[in-house]
Amino acid sequence: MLACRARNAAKKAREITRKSDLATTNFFGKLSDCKSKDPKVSEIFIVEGDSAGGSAKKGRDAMTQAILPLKGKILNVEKARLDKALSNEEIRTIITAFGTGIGEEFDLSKLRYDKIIIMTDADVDGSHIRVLLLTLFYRFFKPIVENGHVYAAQPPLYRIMHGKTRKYVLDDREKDEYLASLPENVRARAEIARMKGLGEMDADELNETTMDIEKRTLRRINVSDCVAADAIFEKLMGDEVEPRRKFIEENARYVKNLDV
Amino acid sequence: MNENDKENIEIDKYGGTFHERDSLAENDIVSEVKDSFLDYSMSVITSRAIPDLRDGLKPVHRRILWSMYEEGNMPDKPHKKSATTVGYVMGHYHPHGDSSIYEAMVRLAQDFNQRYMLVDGHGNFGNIEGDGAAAYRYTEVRLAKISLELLRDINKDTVDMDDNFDTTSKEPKVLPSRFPNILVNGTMGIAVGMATNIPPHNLGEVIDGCIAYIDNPDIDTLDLMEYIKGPDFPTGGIILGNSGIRKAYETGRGTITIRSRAVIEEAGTHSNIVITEVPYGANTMDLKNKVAELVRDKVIDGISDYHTDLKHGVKITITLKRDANPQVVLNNLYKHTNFQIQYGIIFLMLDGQTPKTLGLKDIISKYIDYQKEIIIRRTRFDLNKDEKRVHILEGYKIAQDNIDEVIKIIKNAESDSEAKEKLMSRFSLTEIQTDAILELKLRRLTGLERDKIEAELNELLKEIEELKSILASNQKVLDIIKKELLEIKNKYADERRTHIDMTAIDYIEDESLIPVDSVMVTLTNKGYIKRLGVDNYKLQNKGGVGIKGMSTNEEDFVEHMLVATTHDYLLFFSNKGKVYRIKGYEIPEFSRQAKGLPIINILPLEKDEKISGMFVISKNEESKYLVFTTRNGLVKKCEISEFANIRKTGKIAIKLRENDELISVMKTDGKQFIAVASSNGRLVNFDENEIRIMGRSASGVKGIELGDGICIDANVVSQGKEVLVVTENGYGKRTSIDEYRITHRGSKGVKTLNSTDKTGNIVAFKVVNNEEDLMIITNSGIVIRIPISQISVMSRVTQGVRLINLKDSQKVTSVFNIPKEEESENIE
Repeated sequence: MLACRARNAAKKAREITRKSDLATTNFFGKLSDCKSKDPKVSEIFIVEGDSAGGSAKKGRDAMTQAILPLKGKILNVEKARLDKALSNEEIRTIITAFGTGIGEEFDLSKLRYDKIIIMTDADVDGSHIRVLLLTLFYRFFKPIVENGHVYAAQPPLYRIMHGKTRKYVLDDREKDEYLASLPENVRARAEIARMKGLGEMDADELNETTMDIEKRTLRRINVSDCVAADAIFEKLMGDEVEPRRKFIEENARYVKNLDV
Repeated sequence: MNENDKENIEIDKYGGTFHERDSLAENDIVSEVKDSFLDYSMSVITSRAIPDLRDGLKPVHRRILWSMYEEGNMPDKPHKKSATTVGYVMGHYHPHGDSSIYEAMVRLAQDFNQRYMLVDGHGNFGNIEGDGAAAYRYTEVRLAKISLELLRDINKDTVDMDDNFDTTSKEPKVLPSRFPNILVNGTMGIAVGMATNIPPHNLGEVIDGCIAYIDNPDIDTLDLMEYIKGPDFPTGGIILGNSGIRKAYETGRGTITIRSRAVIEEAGTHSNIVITEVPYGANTMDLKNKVAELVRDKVIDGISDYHTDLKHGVKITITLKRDANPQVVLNNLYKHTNFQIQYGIIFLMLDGQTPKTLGLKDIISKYIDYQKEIIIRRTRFDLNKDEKRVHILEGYKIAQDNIDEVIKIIKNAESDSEAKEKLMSRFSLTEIQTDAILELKLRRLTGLERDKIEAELNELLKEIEELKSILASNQKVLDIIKKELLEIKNKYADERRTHIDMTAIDYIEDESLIPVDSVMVTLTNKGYIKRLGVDNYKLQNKGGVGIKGMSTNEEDFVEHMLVATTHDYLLFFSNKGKVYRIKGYEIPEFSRQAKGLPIINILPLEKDEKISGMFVISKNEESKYLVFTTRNGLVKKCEISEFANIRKTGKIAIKLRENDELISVMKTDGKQFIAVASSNGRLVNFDENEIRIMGRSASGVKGIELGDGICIDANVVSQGKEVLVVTENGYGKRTSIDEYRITHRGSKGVKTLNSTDKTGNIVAFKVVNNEEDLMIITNSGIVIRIPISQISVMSRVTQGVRLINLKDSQKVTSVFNIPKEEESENIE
């Protein structure tokens, strides 16, 4: 049974890869590809939610930046069986978009983008989606991750408004620095809002703060220890609940960002 | 320039410096995943899926209630559109999807989800069938009255407030929750790595439990369970036993079994299973589909129709086929569908910011601690307010005492601030006092007003003293909590809906938990069984039992009756030769007037199977044997001990040949005489020791030579007793047993009635006494009751007298002697 299922899944995977060679729009789902076909300068933003997808498409540099909007949370491939994962619409789109194929037929040289950028909201659901995507990449496209092609976009965490100025800052340190630079009376009246979603910014702002190659700060995801990485995915995303519960209990005090 | 070249040029623009222009941070995948996962899971745990111990609410619910309160969407105001509230919650406090907010709010307004609804909804809020509520542009909501108790005192600085997400308004971190909502309404939630499932409880019981804890903080879980019996679901249902409840209350986790409330009803030729309550969380549409699937796959046999009626609560009628055994079908439904469910209780909640699994006592003790804090903070707030007022009143008093001078100072002052300064320095008033004086209206200067100020001041000083004494005394704080909890109980508590069945033997730890009560068990001619508590019947000296009020139903009457304890075994023998054994407590208790429950609800009787004998086997049983008699005149004697291991599902008590049936079962002690009568008017009277003792499944030996008749009945007889016979045409007589000589087993016996065409065959043979009544039943269903004392005593070979006037086609079918109805006795 199991072997049969694996065989079918492998077959399906091959079919998907083959289709990708045809590269017609249908197979790319919601992908808005970049104009350039040169992997060296191309990058793909995997964006949370259709609402942010719209502004990302408007704000992007269409020559080099491709946008793939995801709807909601993607499947956890650590838990799902291979055949189920491969029949998932969004995972298929991602496989097609990357162009490398998966499993035995994986070929890094066919990767269509130099940078795969996960762009999720700066809230905890965004964090969750990032984890789900990293699980997918690490399990299905390990060499892509190992070779440093995967990045996390860093959208601003706060918006500071005073008078007619809107300033976006990346984190608490930048927020404090910026506030300190303001005159006393302005600082007192500054409105600080914690950003909840990419959709809060319009296209220009999104581009300027998060996507523009000149201004953005990306966070590259490295793999320094394969064994540790394997273990953490199994523990946090795997079938068994107990290790996960234990991890949460042991690490609860290290939590950095709590959603309200 | 062609298209291709253009593109190349544009790409060249990025040149080799493409990557270098990015500013890069780096992170290892392990810490990236760890941190992100932790952020997510801890957020889901602490601010999404798990309720706070103190108010039993998840953030979304708290925000909904707070928003409605802030909006003024109160129980005494008209409903407002749901869209208003959803928009308000989303815009001010809950930056998440509108549908998740609306769904959370809808749940609070659904009577099948919420034991005490916190939101009062108007319009279509869905049903237990799984149909959702109408869209939020249609429905309307307002706070339910009981929610005001969750919010009460919130404006008295009782709880900490937090900034909302964009620091434009404040929201409470927790509601004052003046009743223990965590237990009362319960909640369900799935977080990451953990889940919670807190069942709802009865408000009155929970408050009683809290008060018992306040009175005795050393109370243990078992004693708390005297007050809080177990979960109480909005959908009712029956919880089997209490061992799962106890485990959950002790450890925070436990599993209970919830069963639907079902009754088997006879409907002419077939039976119906009528279900009026389903387990909590069961969806009636899913139930129906599941039953349909089981019927289609032949897993359950015997169902011919299924109908759901939601008009007055749930009513599901399952029509059975004529040959179906209703008890078997019902058990299959319990086994294969959600008509019976396992409900895993997990008392997981946030204590502070930490998720904890707590037992009942911990929950109550922490809740009471929280209420203490609320009362202390409220008292401090009131005290502060009073003291401020006193301060101002004292200023007024000074001003009143020196009113002329005050007016002069004000009149002569150049400006507002000058007047203020002068007043302050002249009378050593504070700024607050002076401001208040300057704000005084002239009318406040009258003499009457002066008295008023004095009175208010005295009043306040008294109040301040009281408030201070509260802050100084833990006991006073507890007394206030008690008093206010009781107020809520009196206002909102209602009857328990979920029945906890303490007789479900598989689900109770210890049978001895069931009290040993003396009960009377009755089984009517139509097959309704019940037990009556000892208070409901009265043993009489004569040995009879007063049964007034039990036989009011004209068509039905009590055929079998016995007195037992709840822990005695009862044996039921059916005409099909089967025996069933249950314990006294398994028979449902009913009031004196009630009909009882059809016995097919308790025993898996087949179609046409009827109980022909019911016995109690007490612990110190004196009788040793049971003697069986069949329609074909066979008799069999068994030791009672043969029936020590019979189960509810039944076993063979006597192997019957085809077309034979068991007509009588008697208890004997080995020293009795047995009389067996036949339809053609003969009676054998022999020593019971002529029947040898046989095993349980044996068929027996010949008791009477029937000729062309059938066996009517058999009875234990002893000297001096009277024998009564009745014929099919309504003739009957009494004769002393001494007129019948002793013959042998298997003989033809002696004549007991001069059977003629006029009298017809004998249909009944009973051993009677004067204290009894006779019930005569005809084939047209008529039941006639006559006192036995009115029936003539005659010699053996006579025709008897007419007992009942019958029309042409009418025949007597059966006759029963039952205790006399007590008319004169005043039972109450």
